[in-house]
Amino acid sequence: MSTLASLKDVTVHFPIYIMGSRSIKRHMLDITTGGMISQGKNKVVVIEALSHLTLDLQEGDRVGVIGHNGAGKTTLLRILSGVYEPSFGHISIYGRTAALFDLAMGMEAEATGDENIILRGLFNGMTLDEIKSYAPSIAEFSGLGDYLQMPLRTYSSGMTLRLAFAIATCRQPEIILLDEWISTLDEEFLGKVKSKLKEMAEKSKVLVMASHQMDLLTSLCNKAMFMQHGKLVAFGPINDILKEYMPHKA
Amino acid sequence: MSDVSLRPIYEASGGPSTGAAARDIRETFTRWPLWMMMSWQDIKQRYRGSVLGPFWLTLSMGVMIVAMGFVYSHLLKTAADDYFPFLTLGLLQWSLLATLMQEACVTFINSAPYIKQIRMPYTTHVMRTISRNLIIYAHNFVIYIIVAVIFGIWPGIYLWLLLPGFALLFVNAFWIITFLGMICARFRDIVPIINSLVQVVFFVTPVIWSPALLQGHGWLVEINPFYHMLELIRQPLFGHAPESLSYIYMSATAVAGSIGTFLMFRRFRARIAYWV
Repeated sequence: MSTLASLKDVTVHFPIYIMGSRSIKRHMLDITTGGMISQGKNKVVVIEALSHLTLDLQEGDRVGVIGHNGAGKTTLLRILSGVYEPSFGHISIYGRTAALFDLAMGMEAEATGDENIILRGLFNGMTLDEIKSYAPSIAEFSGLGDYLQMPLRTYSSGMTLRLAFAIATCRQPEIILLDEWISTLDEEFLGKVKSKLKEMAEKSKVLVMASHQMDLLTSLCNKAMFMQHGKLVAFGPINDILKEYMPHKA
Repeated sequence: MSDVSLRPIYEASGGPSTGAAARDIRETFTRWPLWMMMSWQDIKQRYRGSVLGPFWLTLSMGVMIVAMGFVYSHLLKTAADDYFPFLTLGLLQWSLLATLMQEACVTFINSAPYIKQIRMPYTTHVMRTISRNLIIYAHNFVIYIIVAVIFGIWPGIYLWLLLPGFALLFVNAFWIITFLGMICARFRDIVPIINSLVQVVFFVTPVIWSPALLQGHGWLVEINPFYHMLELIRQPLFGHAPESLSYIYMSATAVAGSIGTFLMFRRFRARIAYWV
């Protein structure tokens, strides 16, 4: 068994800027007047979104992240994907990661489907040659055919999502990160996505997903972690965790 | 931990990191197709459905030059033959510098949807801003060619001096955009301050008037970094060599600015995602 992701004492501080705290003028006033003029008005409230999280994810771990809204599920996924870097602590990732968050992000409405394949591929860290070699299989899985020569704005939202999903999943990753978006899909597409996801999840080494849909979690995951106020409360086999913490959810 | 010997694909720690800051910049340049494609899409999106495309800007600059040229050549008592080429080159360079400064402020703020969704080097957004403006500049350059033909300007061998000129422009733009982009992401009221500052600089910099008019008060422009940046590209296009002072001044700001900004980037790079 090998470790694919290792978090040591990872803490994330989110600054929440209120009122004058985004103003340089107020900062200058504070410095020159010793805070006498604008006292208390430029507080930066710091929220601890993740608190001293230590965790090793091993090959074969398919982890469902559960917890209330604001428990730190999304922040954890963002930390694992490298979007946010920890304020304290250390994170190491030992595998190619696919973060399936906002899949249509950065796609251009005016560009054609083919151009968007290149654009999204570049976002995902592929080289131009790699994208070109994957393009036929992306086109096939998306099932869009001649539509790929049309601008994206002519697509329905379902078509856009199908293309985005095909690009995001064209290359088998070692680590898959899944955010809530999956619960917003329509039934028909969900069926197709689910089988593809299941296939990918089985081939991948680690899966981490946040969802409120228990049936989806139990069908894809073998482990679960329960989070509360940015802290990892429990981590173990999914059935044990759900049994123990499901009452919290209701 | 069975694989401690394995090098991680990605790692991050809290606190400043020289390695991570250097990696960010290096990765931006190895992944050049990314920002090239993004800036092309910016241009395409801005001018969708218009026949002229980015040449709209070129056309409006052309109209401005013709209109201002007639009035100001009288106002400043300069021969129209001398004034038109001067004005053209001044406005051409100035519009590049001004938009770079203004867009520097919103470089990270406007990239928030990317920054919050996907890991990519932060300086990718800096390069996107620079390359987008260079593409627009290339379109506007047509005006210079037209004016050069009409007024018989042939810079000849001096065109080679554009290379060091643009190199210095690039290095200075890179640190200024990174610097302003970070400051403006944290303190939102700096954006309008910079915008009005750019307006002021336009009037005190010899863009539409010749520095010779200052008569003995030359230091007023010699201390102005924007003047030197203009000269580094304007003079070669006229067929003259810029003063060596301009090269020294701009090299000094490039070195000092890059070092200062790198130290700041090293310290606050990871915070940008939380600021935007």
